[in-house]
Amino acid sequence: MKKYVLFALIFQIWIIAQPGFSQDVRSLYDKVRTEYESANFGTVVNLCKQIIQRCEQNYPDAECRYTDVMKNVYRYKGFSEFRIYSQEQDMDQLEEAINSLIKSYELYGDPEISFNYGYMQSSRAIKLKNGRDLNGLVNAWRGILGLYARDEWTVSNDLLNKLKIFIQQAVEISITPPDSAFTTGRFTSFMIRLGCDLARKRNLANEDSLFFNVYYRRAIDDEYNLRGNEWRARGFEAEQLFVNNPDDSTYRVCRGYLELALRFAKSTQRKAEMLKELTKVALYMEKYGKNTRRETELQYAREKASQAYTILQEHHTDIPRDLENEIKKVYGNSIFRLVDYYFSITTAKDRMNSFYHARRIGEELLVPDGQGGLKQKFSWEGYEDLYLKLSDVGYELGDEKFAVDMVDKAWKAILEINHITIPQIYSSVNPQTAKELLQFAQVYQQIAERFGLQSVLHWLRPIIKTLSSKSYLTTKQGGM
Amino acid sequence: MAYRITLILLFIFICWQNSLLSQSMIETKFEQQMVEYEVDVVRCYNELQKFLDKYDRNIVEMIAFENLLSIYVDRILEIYNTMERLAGSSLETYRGVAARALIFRSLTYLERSRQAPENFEKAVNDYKHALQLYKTSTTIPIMNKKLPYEVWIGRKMYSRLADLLDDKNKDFNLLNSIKDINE
Repeated sequence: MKKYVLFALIFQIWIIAQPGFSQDVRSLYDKVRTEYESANFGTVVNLCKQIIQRCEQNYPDAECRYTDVMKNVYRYKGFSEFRIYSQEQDMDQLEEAINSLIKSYELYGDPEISFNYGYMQSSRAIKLKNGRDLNGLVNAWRGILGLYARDEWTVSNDLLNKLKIFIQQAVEISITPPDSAFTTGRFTSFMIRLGCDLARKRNLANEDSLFFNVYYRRAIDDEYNLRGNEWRARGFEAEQLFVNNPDDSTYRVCRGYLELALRFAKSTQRKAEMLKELTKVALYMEKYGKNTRRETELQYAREKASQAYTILQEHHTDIPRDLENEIKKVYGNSIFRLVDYYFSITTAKDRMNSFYHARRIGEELLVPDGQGGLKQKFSWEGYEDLYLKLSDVGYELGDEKFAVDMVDKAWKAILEINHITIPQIYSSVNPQTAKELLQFAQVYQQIAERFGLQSVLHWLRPIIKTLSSKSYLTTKQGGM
Repeated sequence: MAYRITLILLFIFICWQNSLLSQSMIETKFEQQMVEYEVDVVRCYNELQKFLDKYDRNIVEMIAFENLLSIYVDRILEIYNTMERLAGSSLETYRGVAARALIFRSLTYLERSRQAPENFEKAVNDYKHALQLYKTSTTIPIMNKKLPYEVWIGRKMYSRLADLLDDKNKDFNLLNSIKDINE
């Protein structure tokens, strides 16, 4: 019996000694406020839990019935738990914070609280890569509308900042997870449009106006393709960083974003644009990148450019003229660079293989010209260089017909580009052009000599002589 | 003395005028806000319809649209109830806005009623609520009134709620439910 009495006494003392038991809710609540102001968030959470525990007892304090007190207890608890989550990144804390704020909102419909737990729900969705969870956005929007109404339907600075946060979260959710599409993105796009429209109800500073205009465009461009537009924007941004510092890491990031933009592109124009951009990035990496794998990048560029060109052929009317020209340029350039690559890596052992390889690559852009020869499928900025390179390949392979055909096309191309005729070479050609033409003429001469084309040589000699003397003037002027 | 009484009366008159003016300003603001919210309800409804046209309708997004539209309708009803308390039940414009918003929400609930049967109950409640708002009115029923805006579903344009309801509620389930309730 004594044992039981002793045990009961010890138990009672233990209960009384428990922190908070001896204190009433009012004093605990006062402590919560001071501790929250001192940023002791762990203590705030403990104290709030004690208050909630006390209020769950059979005979709670009067304060437990006051909405004003209890909504604040849950509010302090929720915000403190969120602060702890921000430091420790413990998802349980975030979950607790959301539940506390929901409870606070249920007790008293403060729009600020609705916005905050909506924000937290969206943060959780982003963190857990759960793009399906749109509840956070809906709740945050409820909060925003409530705050708008509370400020007598005016957009305050605070609301403007909240709108920015809201829009950024909406974007982030629509691209979460990056490689799959849990939703169509229509809802998030609509939310961004609503957010931008609300912000525009007040006079915006230039910077703010730019922010909302940019996001509005991202929400509507490419058939309301927020996901694709965001990856495209990130891709272009990463491209700038890559151009400034072309290493493997910036290249991977940039290519990754652009590939996602391509994957989620809706219109054919957007697909073609992204393919063109991927080609450009790969070509840049091949030329300026550190520790680059040249062949891999060039093959990648060729593949993407070829896909872009296929789209161009199939949906010609959907592609604007400037994009068409750019696609042709990058396609031609990627082929030229790959031909040049195989042409230049030849070793004594497998030189013929490399030349054949280079020729096969070049032939991708060639079609019959109707006169027994071959011509390029389209003209692009630099197409004369590809003809010249292919004539070099023909020379090395000993293929007279191919080499002569290519060098002849190269010669005609360079004349056409410079808007010059053969008689003009003798009269009005300027030194710079003469130098440029001379390079082509010399290759022509080399090929003619190799294959014994005497009449060509007869025709070429005076041209080369004139061009040499005129280009000599350039060198001399440059030297002076 | 008479001068003082005149002054006092003038003061009372000015105060009364001021209070009338401020009340009228509040009413104007409320009306303006209700109309703005209604525009957002219709925008939301139209957006949902575009979305439903697509083959890739996503249930999570449908729920989100439903909740979003509901937020706006709740705001409209909140203003409507405030106005009713302030000025009695003779507010034709506000009633129209509230009733139309309820019908749109009812139609939105109906879109997902097969997957979520509780939505049908919600749709019926909103529909009933909208009709009740016009129960004692002598004007044209809300369903047959011309809408102040256009509602587009696919390539079809609607200018009356009755037509929209006929198309969206092909089996007249809502109407039958109301009949059942009344019986």
